[in-house]
Amino acid sequence: MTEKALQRTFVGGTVVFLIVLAAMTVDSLQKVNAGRTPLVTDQVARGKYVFQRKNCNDCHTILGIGGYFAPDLTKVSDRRDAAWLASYLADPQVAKPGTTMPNQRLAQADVADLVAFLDWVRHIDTNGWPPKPLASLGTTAGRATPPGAWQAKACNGCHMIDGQGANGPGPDLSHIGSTPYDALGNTPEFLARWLADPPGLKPGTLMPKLPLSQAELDSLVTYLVALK
Amino acid sequence: MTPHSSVRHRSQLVAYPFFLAAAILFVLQVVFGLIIAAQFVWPTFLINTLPFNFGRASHLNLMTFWLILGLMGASYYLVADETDSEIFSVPLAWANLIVLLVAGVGALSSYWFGHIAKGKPFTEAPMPWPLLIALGVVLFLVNVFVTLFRARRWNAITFTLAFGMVGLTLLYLFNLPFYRNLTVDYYWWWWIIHLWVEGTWEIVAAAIMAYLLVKLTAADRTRLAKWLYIEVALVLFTGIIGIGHHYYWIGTPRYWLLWGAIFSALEPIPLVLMVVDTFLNLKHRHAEPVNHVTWYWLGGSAVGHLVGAGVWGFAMTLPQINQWTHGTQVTASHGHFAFFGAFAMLVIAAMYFMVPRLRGMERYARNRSLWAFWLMTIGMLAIVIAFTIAGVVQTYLTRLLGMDFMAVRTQYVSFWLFWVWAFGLVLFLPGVLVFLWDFLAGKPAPQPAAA
Repeated sequence: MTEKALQRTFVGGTVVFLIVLAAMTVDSLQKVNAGRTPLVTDQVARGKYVFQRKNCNDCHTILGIGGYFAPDLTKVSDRRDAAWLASYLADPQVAKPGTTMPNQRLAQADVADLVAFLDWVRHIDTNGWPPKPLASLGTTAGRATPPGAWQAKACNGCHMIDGQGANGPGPDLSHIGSTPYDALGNTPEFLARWLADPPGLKPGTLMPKLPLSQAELDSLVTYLVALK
Repeated sequence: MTPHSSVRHRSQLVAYPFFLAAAILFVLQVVFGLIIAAQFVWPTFLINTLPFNFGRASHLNLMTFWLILGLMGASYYLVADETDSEIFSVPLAWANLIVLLVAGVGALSSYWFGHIAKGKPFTEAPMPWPLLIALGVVLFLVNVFVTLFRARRWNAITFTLAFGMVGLTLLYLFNLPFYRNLTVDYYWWWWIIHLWVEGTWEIVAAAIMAYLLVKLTAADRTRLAKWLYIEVALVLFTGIIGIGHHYYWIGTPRYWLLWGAIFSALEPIPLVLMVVDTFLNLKHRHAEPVNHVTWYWLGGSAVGHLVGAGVWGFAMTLPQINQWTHGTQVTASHGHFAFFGAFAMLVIAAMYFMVPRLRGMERYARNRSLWAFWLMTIGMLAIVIAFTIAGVVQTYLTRLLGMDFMAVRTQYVSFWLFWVWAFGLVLFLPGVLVFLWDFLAGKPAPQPAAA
């Protein structure tokens, strides 16, 4: 081929591939707006603006894109409920003492918008990402394997069991089945009520009210009472 | 400037301030990299003055700025040379540079003093700075295009260079609006990031590489032009739909898993061709005094481009693997390797060819320059290995075993990021400082014995 012919192939081929990409773009965005992402309310859009303005994305990843310095936020509102997220965003040290997340000095309205945005993100159809872990953490001999909810709700972000997980702010739960913590009960009935609404039972506790299904709650109670 | 430079056209001298700014910003980029790597190890270091997110924004933006300024300096130099004419307007080139520098200082000040941003990695600059950046690039395009059209000397090198520069400018415009939907936002954001680094930047880089090959080897121009067109064609034919490897998990339809996997698996092909082409030319070295240092950087760039972008990129591009590695330090290892190999090394190669001439000599003595080369190359290799281990450990513990992100970051990732920081401090940074010293004070190489 002559140089001129190769130049034409380069330009022509590029145009062809750009047309293909343009067609796929039209189709993709149509599908994104028609159900793969929920409707964007004004509050969600304002929350996204706050998220960008504060440059959250250069520490946190969201949809897996970003700074790798702080946890991914795609499914954060699966792990934490709106009230806890709001208190954390308003002052991280109050909600989770010892955290290295800086206080962003957000106005109250900004906090509410941001929480709405994070809840919106959770409903994006991400083709199953992030995937469920393949295996559970190994445990000490004779110990039950933690249920899926233990990992999915990031309980290990605050609690430690048998040396695995974060050393605070939550108590070490290695022996919660035999030794009650802080004058709270450790019967299955009490733990079930506790997990359903910690601040309701003990106002001012750092333990958030987690978004838990009945099955998740049951699995956690069974697991915890067996930790002797 | 020096009294007698060895360039053919006086206006080529305007490349010098572009290169100087690029070299200084490169040093700054590395300093910010060291700060944020240190924050992985000592999380409260500078936590209130320069939180990680704004340190990272500075690190990323300085990289984009110095590479773009370097590519622009090289473009001014080669467009004058290839068209055998003066650049249309030297004052316009200065305006181009100053506008971009003002935009850069403005963006960095917004991060450091205002703690505000536009909030997406690489394109954090808040308004109005993106408008100024766009203006600066448009001034550059006007200057180059008027030069090219006046001279009427289009060849494969100037054509691909102009093609790539127009492309990267148009793509940047996607950064200007505020998108309400996060998925739509990231959809267009990848048009900038992906179609820059795996598209238009590669086209510009290939043109500059071809120019340097002509200059260093007196290779046959027709043959080189054909190779150039084949390479850039394959870059775009694979890379345009290859954008799909960024559309696996962000809310876009499932068919991207197939399209992205197929096309991005083909993306290494043009990189292999480029390495073959470069080393074939290396064999055809001409009697002209050989600029060894430029050769090191050029060959290093070809290899680094293939391994960093091709191998490291390919390793994580298939959805079956990417679902686990996405959003981990594995991405950081690929990013560092690919940007350094494909673009940083190439811009430095161009500087080692052009800067001595802009300072009035044929080429630099090689002793100090090779220190810069080996310190930076070995340093980056060590950094990439540490990032890779950090990423694999992180992927295994958080994604496969489901450990808490912060527990893994503070207990395991931080150990490997310590090595990133340490290698950066004792190898890479000294290499960059030697480079800057050489840039400013390089001595002419002794004349070779008559051939």
